[in-house]
Amino acid sequence: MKKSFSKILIYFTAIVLGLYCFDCIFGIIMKHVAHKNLEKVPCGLNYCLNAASADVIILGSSSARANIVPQLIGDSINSHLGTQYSVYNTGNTYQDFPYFYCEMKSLMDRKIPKIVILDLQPWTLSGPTNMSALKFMRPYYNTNSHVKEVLDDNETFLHKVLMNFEMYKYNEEFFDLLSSYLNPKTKYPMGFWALDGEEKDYEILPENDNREVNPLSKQEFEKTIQIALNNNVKLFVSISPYLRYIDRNSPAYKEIVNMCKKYNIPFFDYSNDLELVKGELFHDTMHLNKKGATIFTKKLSTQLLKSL
Amino acid sequence: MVVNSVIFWLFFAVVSIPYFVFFRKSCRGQNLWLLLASYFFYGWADWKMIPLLTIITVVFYWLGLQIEKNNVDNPKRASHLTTLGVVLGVGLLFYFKYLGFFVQEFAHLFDSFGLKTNLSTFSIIMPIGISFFTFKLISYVIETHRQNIQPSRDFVQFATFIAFFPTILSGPIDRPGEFIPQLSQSRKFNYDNVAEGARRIVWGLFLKVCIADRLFGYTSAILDNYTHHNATSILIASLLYSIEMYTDFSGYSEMAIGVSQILGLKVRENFHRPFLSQNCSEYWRRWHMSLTTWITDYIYMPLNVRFRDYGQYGMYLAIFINLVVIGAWHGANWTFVLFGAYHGLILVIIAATEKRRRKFEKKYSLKKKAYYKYPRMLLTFFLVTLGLIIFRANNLSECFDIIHRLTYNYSFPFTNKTTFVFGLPFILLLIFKEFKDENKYNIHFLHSKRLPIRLMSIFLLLICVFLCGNLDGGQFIYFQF
Amino acid sequence: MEKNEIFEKLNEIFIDVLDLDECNLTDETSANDIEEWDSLSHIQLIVAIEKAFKIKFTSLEIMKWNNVGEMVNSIEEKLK
Repeated sequence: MKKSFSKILIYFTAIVLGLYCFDCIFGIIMKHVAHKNLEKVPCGLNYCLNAASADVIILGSSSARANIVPQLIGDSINSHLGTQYSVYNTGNTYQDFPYFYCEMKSLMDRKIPKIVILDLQPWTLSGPTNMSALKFMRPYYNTNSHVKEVLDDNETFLHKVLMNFEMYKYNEEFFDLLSSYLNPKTKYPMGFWALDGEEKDYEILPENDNREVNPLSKQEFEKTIQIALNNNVKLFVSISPYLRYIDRNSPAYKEIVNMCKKYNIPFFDYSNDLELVKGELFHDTMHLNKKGATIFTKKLSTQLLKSL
Repeated sequence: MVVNSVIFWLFFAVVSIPYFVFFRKSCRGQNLWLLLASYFFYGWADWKMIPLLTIITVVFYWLGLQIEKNNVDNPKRASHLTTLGVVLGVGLLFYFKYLGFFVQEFAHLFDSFGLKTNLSTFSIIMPIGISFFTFKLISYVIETHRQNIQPSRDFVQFATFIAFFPTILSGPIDRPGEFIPQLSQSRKFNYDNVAEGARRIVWGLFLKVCIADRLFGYTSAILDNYTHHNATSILIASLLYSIEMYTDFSGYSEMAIGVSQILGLKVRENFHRPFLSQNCSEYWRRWHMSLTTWITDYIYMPLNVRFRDYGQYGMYLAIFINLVVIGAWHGANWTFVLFGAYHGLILVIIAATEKRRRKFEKKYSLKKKAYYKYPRMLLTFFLVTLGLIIFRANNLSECFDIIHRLTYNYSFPFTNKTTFVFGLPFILLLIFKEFKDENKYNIHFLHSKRLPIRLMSIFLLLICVFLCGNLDGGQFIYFQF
Repeated sequence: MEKNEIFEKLNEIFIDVLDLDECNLTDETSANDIEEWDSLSHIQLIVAIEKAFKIKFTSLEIMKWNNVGEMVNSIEEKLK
């Protein structure tokens, strides 16, 4: 039995050591790749952490990325105010509160923007923090203190231990990082991703959303607003149009409204705008197409200017 | 403690070290240690149910001995005691699993009789694992009565059989005649067992984390919100759901079997490459085998025997009832019953056409032909997928709604890069392995004759798990969809 | 009826029901030894046996059988 045991022990140790070596080497490679990526393809969180330099920043989810045309916002503001503001759209697929808070903090470290447009989804504040969505932050855990703070708040104790392993940090994300590194996309000017197509067959069925507000998300929302106010950033909160039923009695929606009222933040809700909620303006139920984005951005700009 | 969690492995290390070091010469010691570990494990999941588990184990232990005694002295009494055991087991299951459902469904019926039912009094919490250990207990009394086994005279052995931690929460469901005898000898640390167990655990982990949890996000994003998706998306999600169900459950089973094997205990197999089945009848002989063989042995065969004078129609009825019971075992919902009935109908049709099909196959020697085998496998997969759509739906109206939606509005599907980039290659790897194993070319990768290849395979699978697996338990970024 | 007579008759029944070319049952023969003997044909065998010997088994008796020898013992009992 001693022989069996030592055999197993040797093989087990060999595999564990092999994994550890792989982990270290992988970490070194990915650090280099992630770093190079920043220079080539700043987008989303990446932009805020490492490349931010625009005067007008748009924070939001993939809806914001598809719906708000930075060029049009910039032209509109600049022509009315005689400024030369640059605009960047940092909207990205998975983003909601942990991200916006983290991004806002990071922006203060780099160049403080004059205007921030925060495009929220109506249900953003409800439900549990999506652990899976946080994985996009993990590659920056060791290099950015704001990311570390947000992740430590949102994740479990076990996560702190696991963050020491490079494979956990770059889990799944390594693919995107590697593919951007090998084939950088530069066809998204100022972070905007124009979409095509139309949504023909859709139904808007009433649905009630009774989910409770997530206290951590609410806290992060409030802190985001406070950072903006303390640094003289003009903050606007908008809700894009969706081909979905929006339950305005949901705790999450009401919380957004209350928070904006509390801090006197201009709040623009386009989710029930009859001019915009039309199939031909949408790529799918959550994102506008190019045509829809143009119309929506023009409307948003007009409202923005009134508040400026 | 889920078997693919860090804390489980810490627990397992703590359990296995004394098991192989301190107790290696003492079989009693090993059993007692396993029993304590199993109760700790079960308590961690649901400590309030420990008294229930203990009491019912004691009751059935006593029943076993009584039945044996009466088998000789008083056969009628033995029958009654067996019936008592079965009724107790089924009753417990009914009470915890189905009573609330029955009350709810028949509330209006009760009302019409003037019986006001207050649903809150029926907020019964189902003890975890009850569907599994009650089945072990029932098979114990029946097998004792049939004199296929001798009842256990060692309470520790019996209690360990019932509470065995790798299998108590989700099976496989073991038979007393196969498992208890293994507890009467001490288990030594055996290289082959540990190596094979480890291989099964790594493969099971891969299936669960890299495929099942990966697909879960996509399938639930679409199927939980099917009203927002077109038919193509629903179809793809349903097909992927079949794969998800398989890899989830078989991944877990592989890990449970692997853990048991390391401890030197052989546990029943649960899956035997079900999607390589050529018809639904074969499918049920390869899917969740520990459950289906249980229901076949204790419900189908007795029914078949009872209906034997009604010829083939008796058999058809037995088949149909068999499948409905399998369906209903899964939970208290009409969708599970419909799922069972759906498969029951298919299996009856297969049974009714058996003779003609055999003749047809023989005539054209179709059995080995690829153009006969593979389309049948595909058809079986589609039929199973349709059954799983019924299975997964929350209620009957949702079920019919989803099926109705599959008949129109096919356009560009909802896609998610992460799901397909990470999911599809691994699914292809799984398909490759299944075909190779089926044709007995079990000489590659994990079972290669060369040690470096075996070690490398384990190493690479673990890399896939840590790098490409969904380590957040299958959650998905589109949860708000 | 003598035991070997029972075995002879059983052989005939097995050949008939299972569509075999020949059959040589012993006490130890079980379903594992004959490919065509599965749970379905098992029932058909029982029905044929009951008909041929003009007897009726209880479910419990049937469930207890593990091989042909036990089957034959049951038949013997019933014929007494």
